[in-house]
Amino acid sequence: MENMERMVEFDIGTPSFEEIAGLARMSIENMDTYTSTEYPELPWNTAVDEYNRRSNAPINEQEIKHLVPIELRSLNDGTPIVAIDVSILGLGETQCGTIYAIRGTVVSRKEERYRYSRLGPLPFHINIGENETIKERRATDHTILSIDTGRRNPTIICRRLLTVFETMLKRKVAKMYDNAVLLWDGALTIPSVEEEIRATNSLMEVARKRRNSIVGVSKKTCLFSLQGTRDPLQGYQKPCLIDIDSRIQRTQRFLLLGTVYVAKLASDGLLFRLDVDKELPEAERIAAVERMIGNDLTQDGYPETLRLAHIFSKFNATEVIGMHRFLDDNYGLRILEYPNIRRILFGPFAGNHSKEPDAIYAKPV
Amino acid sequence: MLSLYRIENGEVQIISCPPQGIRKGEYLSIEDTSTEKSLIIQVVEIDYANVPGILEDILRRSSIHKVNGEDYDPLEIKSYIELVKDAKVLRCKIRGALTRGEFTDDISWIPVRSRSRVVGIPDETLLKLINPSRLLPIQIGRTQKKVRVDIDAKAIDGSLNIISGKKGTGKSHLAKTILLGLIDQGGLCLVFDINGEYTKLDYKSSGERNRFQKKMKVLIPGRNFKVDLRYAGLGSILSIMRSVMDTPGTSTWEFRRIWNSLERRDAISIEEIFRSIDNINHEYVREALFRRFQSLVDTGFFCDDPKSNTAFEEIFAEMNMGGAVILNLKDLPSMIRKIVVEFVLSKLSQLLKRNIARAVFLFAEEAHLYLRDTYWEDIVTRMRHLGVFVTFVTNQPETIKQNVFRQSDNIFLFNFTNENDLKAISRASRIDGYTIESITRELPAHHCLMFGKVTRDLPLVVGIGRLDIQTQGETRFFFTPLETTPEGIVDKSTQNNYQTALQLK
Repeated sequence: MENMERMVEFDIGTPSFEEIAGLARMSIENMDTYTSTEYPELPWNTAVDEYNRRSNAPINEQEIKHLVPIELRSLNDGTPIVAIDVSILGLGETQCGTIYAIRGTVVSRKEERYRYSRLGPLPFHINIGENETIKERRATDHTILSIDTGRRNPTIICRRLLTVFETMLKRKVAKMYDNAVLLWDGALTIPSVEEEIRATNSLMEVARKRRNSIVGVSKKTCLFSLQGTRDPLQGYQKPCLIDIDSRIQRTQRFLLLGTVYVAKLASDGLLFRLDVDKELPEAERIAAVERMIGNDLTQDGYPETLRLAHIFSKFNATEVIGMHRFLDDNYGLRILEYPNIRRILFGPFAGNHSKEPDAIYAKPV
Repeated sequence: MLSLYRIENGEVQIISCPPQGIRKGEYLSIEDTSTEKSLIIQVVEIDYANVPGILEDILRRSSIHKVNGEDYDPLEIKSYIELVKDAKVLRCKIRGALTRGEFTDDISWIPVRSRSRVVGIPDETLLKLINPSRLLPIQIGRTQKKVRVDIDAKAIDGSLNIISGKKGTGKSHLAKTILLGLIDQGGLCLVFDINGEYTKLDYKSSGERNRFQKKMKVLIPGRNFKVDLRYAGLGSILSIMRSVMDTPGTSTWEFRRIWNSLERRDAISIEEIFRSIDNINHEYVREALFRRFQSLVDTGFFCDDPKSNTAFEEIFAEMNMGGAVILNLKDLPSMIRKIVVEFVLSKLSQLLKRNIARAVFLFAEEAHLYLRDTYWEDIVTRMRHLGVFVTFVTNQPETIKQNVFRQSDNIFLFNFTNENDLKAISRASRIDGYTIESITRELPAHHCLMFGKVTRDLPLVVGIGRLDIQTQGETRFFFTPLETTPEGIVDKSTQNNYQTALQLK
């Protein structure tokens, strides 16, 4: 853990992050000898996604066009802009689960300088289902923390894992900054489960107490089309917002933690969905966006801090090979074969959206 | 770790991850545990492995190069990722095989990939393969891993050797090393010293005499190297007049008549020859012979005094335990240089035919400056059979004809960067052009790639060792520090040498 000393700006080396790193390590070390203490429920919200999937009535572009845009001034007052992004990648399957790697990045812009803190990669082994061995060992050993999906879908577990990690990062950042604009990737949605709502509210409270403004930036949304042929803000040369909150159905709005805008953050930029913390007065919400475009670069209308956070977090093929070596050297996890069923079946027509695992691991006996 | 990746068109590709600091020219062995056989391969090119995602990674880095920050990597995975990025592909050529420890050139098989192990061959093992007997060792330097390299004098014996490389890379130094090694082994050597840089081989760098003191004879044409006409003989003189001075056939016929006539009367002398030429009726022939003979006499190389004559038989007799005759051709006009070389080669042939000497190792620096075209083939064919074993030293490989290159037994190549030079060598040498171009292009100074009989045709990169002798071939510079001494102001770079120091008074 000597690297923790270098984490000055974000003070990430706190016990909670150590816990996550420790959990990662243990989950692999004990992948086939585990008893299981189920990881507590995480503040993961699937309700909005579910609602959006079912929603057949996105807001009409014409409807948006009739709304009056709010022109934005660029407010360069030295407000720190901090963006957070995380990514997860399936490294391969084992006999009793799947190995994932997660990584998160915080990028800040302060006094016209960018700075990043990157956490990870952290490989996790997630057990799928239960078997006799697990049951037997569970009876005798209660000490090892591991991630057990039980009968649940491993994809959901993997997303929950990512959310734990992301929430931890967001909490750190919210505690660390005052009067900053915090950029999150995606919409500000409320979870459906009581504990999750509490966790999210607590996170938002921490941010508000320190007078931080939370802005969620979405590249995609189901609420309205961002790829429409007609740009509803066509003709506006200056950055501007359209408040569409009133057009969102009440049931849908209830699940949101932010006021929703269609935003054009640069004169020739693309359109994005912005969710700005609902608890802020309207003037402060607008001011938060104005401070964001004044203190950060917005090439193509997308905040540079968030773009960098995304670039830093993303895994590439070299890193995947490096992690394979790490798993081999440290845990004796050898890649048995590299099957790609789609590739085998369809050859060049397999496409590049295959969801099959990248590798199959085996631990030598 | 080294892993066999693939074998394609005679090229073996080895993945080195993590990289092991292997350099071009090094040897590896692919051990096939199922057959107890090994392939001997040599690294001729080193590339980065085409790791997926590397371009993406570089682009990511370039887009964030101005962003400072930290990585918190508790499991220290980054070091593994860095290793993958640094993975290298070693492109190798197959040089031979080992079957139960015996070196063989049967490389018609390839190892089983799943049962193969790639390991480096220690230099000591490689050198034992190359030179198992080490009967007459000549130490020439060290491998890249500082293991002493000896070549066997027997591999030089009867061989045509070529030392080539661009200016200032150490060609002459290697030639001197081999020369002194041959003398140590009792060899008789002759050097055409175009720059006068072999003249102080019997001096240590400190100025004291070394063990070669009585084994060196420096001959300066016209000064301590004169030839009596009778010793030279009609054959040599005619050869010079024809080849060097372009004398027409009629005139040479007339000269032969004069010479024979005077010889019958035992009256061969410069004066008598002039008198006879003067008596020729035909004006053109008389003029042609007069001017040419006058030129010969003006060189100061020929005389008619038997006491001033330099007889090679006597010099060779003194050097029966090994030695070298250094023919200092420095500062001589081109024509005189050619006359002297023509005479020496002609005389040498005569002496070897008469078994006056067993064989002579001839060192010829920049031979194209004094060797006529027809002599090249003569040297590598006829004279070789008589016992003249030549080592050509040149920085212009294209001046050596391709057929000479092809007949060479040993080649020592120093750094070359010029494409034309590399092509000239690649086309004609004993190993593949790819190896030559790839390795010699990046050889550091005083390192050479040698191959041929001396290495059992295994190309080997050698750093040439230092010699404790006085260097003479160094360029004298204008912009060098000057030091005031009792004799005047002396150029510091040359003050330790016996060569002329720059003195400003």
